[in-house]
Amino acid sequence: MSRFSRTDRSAMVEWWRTIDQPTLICILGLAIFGVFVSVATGSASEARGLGVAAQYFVRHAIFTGFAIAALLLVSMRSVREVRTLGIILFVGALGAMALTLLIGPEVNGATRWLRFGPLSVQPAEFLKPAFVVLVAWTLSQGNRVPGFPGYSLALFILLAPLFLLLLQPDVGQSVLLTAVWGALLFAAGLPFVWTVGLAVAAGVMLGAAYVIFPHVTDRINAYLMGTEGGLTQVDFALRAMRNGGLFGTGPGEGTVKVHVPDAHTDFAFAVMGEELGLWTCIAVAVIFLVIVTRGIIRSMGERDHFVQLAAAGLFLLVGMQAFINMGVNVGLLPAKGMTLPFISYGGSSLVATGITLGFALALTRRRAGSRSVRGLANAGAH
Amino acid sequence: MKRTARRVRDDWTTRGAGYFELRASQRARSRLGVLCTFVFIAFSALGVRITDLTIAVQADDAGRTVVADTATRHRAELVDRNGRLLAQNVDNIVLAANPRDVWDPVVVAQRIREVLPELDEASLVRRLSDRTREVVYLAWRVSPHERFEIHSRGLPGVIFREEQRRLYPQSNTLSHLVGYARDDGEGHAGIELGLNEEILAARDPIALSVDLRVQHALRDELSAAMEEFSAQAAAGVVLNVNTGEVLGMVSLPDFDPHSPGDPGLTTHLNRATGATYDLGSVVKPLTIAQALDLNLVSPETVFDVSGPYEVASHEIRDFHRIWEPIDVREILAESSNIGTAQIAELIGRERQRALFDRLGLLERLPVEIAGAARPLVPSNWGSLETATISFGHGLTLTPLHLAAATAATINGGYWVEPTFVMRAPGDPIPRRRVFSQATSDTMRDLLRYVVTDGTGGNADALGYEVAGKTGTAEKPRPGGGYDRNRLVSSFIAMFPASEPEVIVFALLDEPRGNASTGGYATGGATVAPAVGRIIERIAPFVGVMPTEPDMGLQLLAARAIDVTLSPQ
Repeated sequence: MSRFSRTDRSAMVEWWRTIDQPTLICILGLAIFGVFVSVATGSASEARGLGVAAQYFVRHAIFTGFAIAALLLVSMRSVREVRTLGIILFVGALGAMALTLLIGPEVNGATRWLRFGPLSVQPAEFLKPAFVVLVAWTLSQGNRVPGFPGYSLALFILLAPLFLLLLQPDVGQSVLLTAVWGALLFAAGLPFVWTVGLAVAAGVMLGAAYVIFPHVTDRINAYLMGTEGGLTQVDFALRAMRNGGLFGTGPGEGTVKVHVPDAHTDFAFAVMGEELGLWTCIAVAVIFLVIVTRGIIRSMGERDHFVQLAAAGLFLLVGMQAFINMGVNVGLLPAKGMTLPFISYGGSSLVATGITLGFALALTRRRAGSRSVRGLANAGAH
Repeated sequence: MKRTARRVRDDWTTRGAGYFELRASQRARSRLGVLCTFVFIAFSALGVRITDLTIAVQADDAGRTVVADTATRHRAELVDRNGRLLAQNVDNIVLAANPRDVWDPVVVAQRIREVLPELDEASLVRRLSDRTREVVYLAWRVSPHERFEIHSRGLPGVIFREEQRRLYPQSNTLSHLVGYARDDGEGHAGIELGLNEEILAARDPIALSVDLRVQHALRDELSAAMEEFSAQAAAGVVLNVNTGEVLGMVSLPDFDPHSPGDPGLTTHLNRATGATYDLGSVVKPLTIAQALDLNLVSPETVFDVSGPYEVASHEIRDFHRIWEPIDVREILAESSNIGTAQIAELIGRERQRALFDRLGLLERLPVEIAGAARPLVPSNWGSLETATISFGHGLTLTPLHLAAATAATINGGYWVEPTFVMRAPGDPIPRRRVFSQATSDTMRDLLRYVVTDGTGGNADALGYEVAGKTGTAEKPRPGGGYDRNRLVSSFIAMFPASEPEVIVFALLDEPRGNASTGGYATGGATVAPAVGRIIERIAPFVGVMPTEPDMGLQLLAARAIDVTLSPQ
């Protein structure tokens, strides 16, 4: 990189200089690793009669390419452009989700997909980053402009997609959206009493989901009490991981993976554990931790309140999703349909993750006066 | 709220927008720090859990493979005396589902039918849709390969249960003898119940006394006779007279031990050990043997049997009236009730009862099979009972009771405790002396005479020196008295007469006479031929050779002619 001088003002160079390079490298490394893992998870799904392994690998690689392209393109946008894109994406995804309920095909008892010829798109995946950007903007406006109904508007922005998600039904995504929303409210300075109130409300809603949705009831029961015969998805995921041990059975040598349903999506982490060993699981978890904590810490230092909230929210979104997925895979949390960013197969999930982290990288790029305190002090010198 | 808003707006007008944003972002900074800490804690928990899984691997190596959940109890194999398998445990996989985990019953049913096309789709869908239940069973026996195929289709909610099932390779052939164990792993009938604890405790196969080849022949011939004479039921016992080992035991109709159904069904009644009958004239040898043993009569002692004989103001009759006086040998050969009753009168009530007690006829037999029946002993054993019991009425017995007691009259005089478990060589044989050797020798001769010159001629299997006795008992009427048209016809046989090895007892419940028997449904007409055929078939298996070599040749010649003459 030394061949670019600091005075070179071309867009690419400017972008490279201002972007958070360690985070970018972590993200790219994770995405490329995901392509390798898809060889193992895809062959597991092939053994279960679901498609062809090579096809999973090729498609995963192509979608990862799209995801990286989306990541890079989005990360070049300015803060203002990110906000605009977020609003457009939010409205589009919300409309698509409503459309899904009307014309989407029912897969596994839920309508989550929209078909465009050979492509199936899951609008909810694209809604998530846009949702964070929009809520962050609303809350920051509330703190910036007196009288601006920040919290009320944020509540409305939550309820609209939540309503559509619960109609699908997709309890996992609903929980994720609500959790990120709550974290953003907390970060935006929600009074302590309200924070406690919201936590209680969240508990009540989870209880309601337990009562209303039979599959939620069963999964939580299975989590709390264990299952007869030990043949649920989670049991097999755990067996797969145990079978792998620290260093794994070796690529293609896994034996339990063929019993794991959704081996290439929700339970890719477990299959990866069986074939490549638990140390890769720890490595992936550490990379996620680095991306998320580094992202949040960098966001903390942002001077722009909107950037602060939006960037932290986006990193938090990825972190929570990864944590829930991995937690389910290792039996730490009740089973919940959620993908592991960049590792799980699925075009929508991959590209949406690219957009999410692209937003986050765009927001945390160094700009004149963007860093607080020190940034403020250096502003004049710039 | 309003006040706060106004205050904030006032502040804003005085201090400017930047101040509020700065304050908000400073607060957000510390709160994001809290969130970041939460993230760190959560991921740490994850790391601990992953590490824990790694350590668990080293501690518990069994976790490396999918371990079968075998819950049901192990039962030892049962084999016949030659080691042929009668009952064994097999691993069975049951296909089940939790309908609450099933997303789409129609899709799941279709995918299951790709592997198990014999299942009915509508019924599958119905069961898979029943969300009121936590477990529905879809198929009771699934092979490991089918299980793999279904598993690999990744159908949520579909579960497999591994269990032990009891398999009876001989199916109906030994349904009453072996009995059955149910899915709870416990025996519920026959030997499976009678020896339940032993079977659960044993590691090696348990050898029963039964000889599968004998059992097949017995069942075959009894089924044929039952069909030929339209009998309601049949029972048969083959007993080793010296060891008391039961070599065969059949009760018809029988049932499939794999799906026994309601134990109250008449098919479940074990007519050989679990039901008692007025057996009739087959009991007479016991009376004759006792009189001989007490030196009250000799085979040549003559009795007048011509007139109706009155005991306690009841008239005793014979089937055919015999006008001239006959000796004891003829009394047995012609099966005279009048003659036997007169002999019983010589014996007397007390001695008769004492003998029957020593022959085990007043108690339940101490056998390993569950459900052994207790004889119906008359409460008032008077002179009339002494007379009727002497020829087999008034004391109901199981076929096995009779076989074991009759064995004592021809095996040298011992009552040997019958058993369903194979006796090891050198094991002490529980037995007690009842008759003298001389009595036994005489009885062999007298019973052989029944077959050569009396009512038992139809049982004479060529070359095997069959001795025996017919029995034809009228069934009691529900209102009292006996029913001339409802008979229990039977035949007890032992061979070879010179040194009997095996005793065969068979009975038909309510047989109908046909043209070949001249309309007679008596034991001599219906059961004796079947017993003769049984002896012919089982003799080689119990180690009895035809007595004379040329007899054996004749037998072969007779069979050859049979083969030539019959179209097949």
